[in-house]
Amino acid sequence: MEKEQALVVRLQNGSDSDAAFRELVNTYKERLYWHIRKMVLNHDDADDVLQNTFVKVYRNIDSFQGNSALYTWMYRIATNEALTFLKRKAKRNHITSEELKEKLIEGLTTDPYFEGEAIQIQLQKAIAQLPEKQQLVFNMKYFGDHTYEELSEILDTSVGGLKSSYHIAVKKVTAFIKEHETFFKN
Amino acid sequence: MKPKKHTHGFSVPKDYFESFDERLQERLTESALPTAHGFEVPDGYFDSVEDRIKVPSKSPKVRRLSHFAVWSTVASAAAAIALVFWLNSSEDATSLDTVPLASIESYLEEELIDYDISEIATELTEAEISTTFSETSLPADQLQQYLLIHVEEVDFSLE
Repeated sequence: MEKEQALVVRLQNGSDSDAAFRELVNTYKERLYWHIRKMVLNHDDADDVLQNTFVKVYRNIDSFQGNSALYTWMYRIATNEALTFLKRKAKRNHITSEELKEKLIEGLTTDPYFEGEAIQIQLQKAIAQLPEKQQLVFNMKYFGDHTYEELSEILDTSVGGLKSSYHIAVKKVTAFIKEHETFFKN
Repeated sequence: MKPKKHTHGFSVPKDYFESFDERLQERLTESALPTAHGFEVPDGYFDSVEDRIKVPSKSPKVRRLSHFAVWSTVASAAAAIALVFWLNSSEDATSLDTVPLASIESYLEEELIDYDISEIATELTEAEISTTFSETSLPADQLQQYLLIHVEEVDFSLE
């Protein structure tokens, strides 16, 4: 935390801000990438959103007041960027966000940067059935390494609410997988 | 940091994270450029733009060959034949009727190889062409055959 505060000071202090920004990018690029990737599914889109996220961070670092941890602030930016990106993409293609998600999941079968098997594609389909907030909670908790406290800060939701959301999401995902179980047996 | 509990199957291209900083730097540089282009249009320009656009007719314009163009080609061919014989004939002129068509063609190919039929046509007036054409009294079927073979090079395509 102290290290992060020192980094913020350097970022907001003109003389060393470029080097500090490089350090920031190096520290968070992978974590933020995977957070974004699980939302947008496609590598190129994830790369695009990740770059946009850092551009936003760079431009707005002076307005960061330290009311939350720097990384939760960046996660929030990344989440908003990814959601906005998906909405814009759906609009551009004249389809709904749900239809876009279906299309993206179908694309995984031929995606050179998806090494998952049928069960993982089915899992993505199950996640896509969840409401937006539950998708976020499930992805960050199931695949990620966040504590509920961290998630609470990032998603601006109470720990109790998050636990409940995650519990419901797990139930829905399990039900979906069971429902489509014959697919795996064949 | 704890290890990830579950795998999602996603991967990244080789060296993606190593080269990310460089690409981000490009994006940052680009994002610092002005977003507005600075161009402006006169007031109300877009309200009146439709009125100033002339909509072309739907069907493509077909260039109709003029009567003169067809006949000038026909007359040019005939005139060329007649001209060659006129230029080369002495007091003892041979009637064109008695000369086989193949001989005329062969002669034209050998002697007029550098002449363009349209060049010859431009040298003659329409009246001269008409006169020459009527004087040659070339049989219609032979003339037609000649034209079918030789006039195909004329471009009658649509404009």
